[in-house]
Amino acid sequence: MLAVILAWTSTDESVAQLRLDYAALRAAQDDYRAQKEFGGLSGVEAEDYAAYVARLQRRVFEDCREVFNSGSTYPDDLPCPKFAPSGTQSADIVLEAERTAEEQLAALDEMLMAGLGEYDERLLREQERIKAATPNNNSGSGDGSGDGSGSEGSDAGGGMGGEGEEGDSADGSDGESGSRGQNTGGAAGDNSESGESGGQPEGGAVDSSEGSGQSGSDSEQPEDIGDGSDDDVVARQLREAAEKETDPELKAKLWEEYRRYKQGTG
Amino acid sequence: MRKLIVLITVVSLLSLSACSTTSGGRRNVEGPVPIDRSQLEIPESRLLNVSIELFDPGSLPEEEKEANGLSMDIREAEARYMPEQLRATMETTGYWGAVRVVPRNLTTSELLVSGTILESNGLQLDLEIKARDASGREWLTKQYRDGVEAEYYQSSSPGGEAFQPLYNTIANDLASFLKQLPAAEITNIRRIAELRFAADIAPGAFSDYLDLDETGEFQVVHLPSKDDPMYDRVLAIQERDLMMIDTLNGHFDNFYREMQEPYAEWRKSRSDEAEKQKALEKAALNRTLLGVASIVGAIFIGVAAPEYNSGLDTLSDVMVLGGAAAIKSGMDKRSEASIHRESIEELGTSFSSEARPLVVEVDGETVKLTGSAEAQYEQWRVLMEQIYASETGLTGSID
Repeated sequence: MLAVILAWTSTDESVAQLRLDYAALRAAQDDYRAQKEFGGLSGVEAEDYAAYVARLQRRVFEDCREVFNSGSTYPDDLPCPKFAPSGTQSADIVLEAERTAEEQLAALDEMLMAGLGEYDERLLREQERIKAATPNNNSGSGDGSGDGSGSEGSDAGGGMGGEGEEGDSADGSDGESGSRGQNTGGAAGDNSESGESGGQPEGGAVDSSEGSGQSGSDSEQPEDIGDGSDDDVVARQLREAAEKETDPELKAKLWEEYRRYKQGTG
Repeated sequence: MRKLIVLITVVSLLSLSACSTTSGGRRNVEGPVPIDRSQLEIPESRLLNVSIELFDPGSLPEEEKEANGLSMDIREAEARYMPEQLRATMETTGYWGAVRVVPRNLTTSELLVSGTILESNGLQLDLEIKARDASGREWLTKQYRDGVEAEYYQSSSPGGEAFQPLYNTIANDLASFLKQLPAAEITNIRRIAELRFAADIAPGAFSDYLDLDETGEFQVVHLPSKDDPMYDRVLAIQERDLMMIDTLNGHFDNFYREMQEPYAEWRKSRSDEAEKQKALEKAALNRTLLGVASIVGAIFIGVAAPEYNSGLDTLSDVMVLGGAAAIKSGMDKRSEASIHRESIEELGTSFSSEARPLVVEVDGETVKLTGSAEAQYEQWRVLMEQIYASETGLTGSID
């Protein structure tokens, strides 16, 4: 009985995880394309974001495999390839029917918590991006508003008592520039996250330029990519996603993700 | 007698023209406004969170001449800049919880402050401010006006805010209203804000916890139990909502920082040019009136003294010539003033082109963040409905 429950739980979790990762992928893809369209992403940011989208893409494909391995059927609204139904499917249907209300509630709760966690991650990512885009401390008055305009408000308010905003504002500008410098440094560190690929022979930057050069023909692939005859289901999907992708940066990152996956599985 | 009449006429016309000249003080406000700060630390349970909506940019005169170099691009930028200034001011008082700037019509809040820019030209700022709490009760609807002289910008440091007394006054008025509220009422407002959010995210579970009375105010009908897991889930989602707004505030803050220097520079240059323009236009008016007065006087002398009188004739000639010269001088001054007008328009165009991309950028970020958040909340609404159905034994499933 325990084995049955465990089997059900893992099936349920894998579908829930697939749903969440797919939702995150969709949101990230939409956001990435919108930002590219708006011109809101600089070179490094775009590269970093593309790497994130490619990682999510890989996770979705891996989730699909998980669901497949667990013997469950894919929900129709999710983009997994159709495989022949496994022999355990009928047992799963029985298990589904056997789920108690508590179990179902626990699964839904888990989905909600996972969704909240995913959303937290996205917001943290966005906050990092904002921090990186914070104006530098190269102009005096820019710093005055400071780490917040909060400090300035305080200053100005204090100044009103003695009709001397000037002196107070100057105070406000003093303390802030140092911490802003820190922020910029932090952001640079964050960007190096995308430089994970820097440790590999094919650096991200090289790939990006390749991708750009190939934007005319989307189906072309980098020279170091093999013919795919030994690809498993995840690698094959990553390859297809990279071939279909029209955005050069995202394409390059998908190929990078493909390489990384192949290295991990090879 | 005739001479007396002529003299009176000329003197009265001259004094008429002199009436248009006034001397200006340094600041055109009642005086400095000290900010009201809480002397004691207020317990967290008695603090209200404040959301300041992006301001309504208002409208400009349709006549380009009347707008005098102001544009809606500038107003749009100000509508995003000024709420940040108010936020910064309120944050320092110690009377409030988190003070956030939010897009218009996006959210409910414990205290929602909205504003409309009625006039803003660097020398004068008129705002209409409204404040309403979560229950729907109106705290205030009030117009605020503050003015400065162009000299202010020459003497102040670049970081100073010219209209800080106005922001202080708004913050003080809000604090004054808050201080009248009993602690129980503050608790009630906070509770209503939570329940309104709960009813939005999980209407099936919480829509009947509040009642909207005939005055348009929300009343709590009943409260969720302390250990209601459904309510805990709502609070967890609300926490993300606030986190999203905080993230959005990062964008607003960056916008404020990027705007601060060019905005201060524009206000300084524009005010300087506007003062010069105003002075020249006054001088032009004075001289024209003086010229007209002289010519009218000369005609009057001619009419009043038809017989030949060499002294009066000479005076009449001098007045006509002097009047013509004064009118010519007035026209020259008007022409000089028009140069300053052009300069003001150029400054406006230049600042508009600097502000427009910043506004587009921050608006784009806002749409992206709130759009994806709304999509996310929609998913959670569905999930919450399923959870509620599952908890209450009604239908509901994962897929």
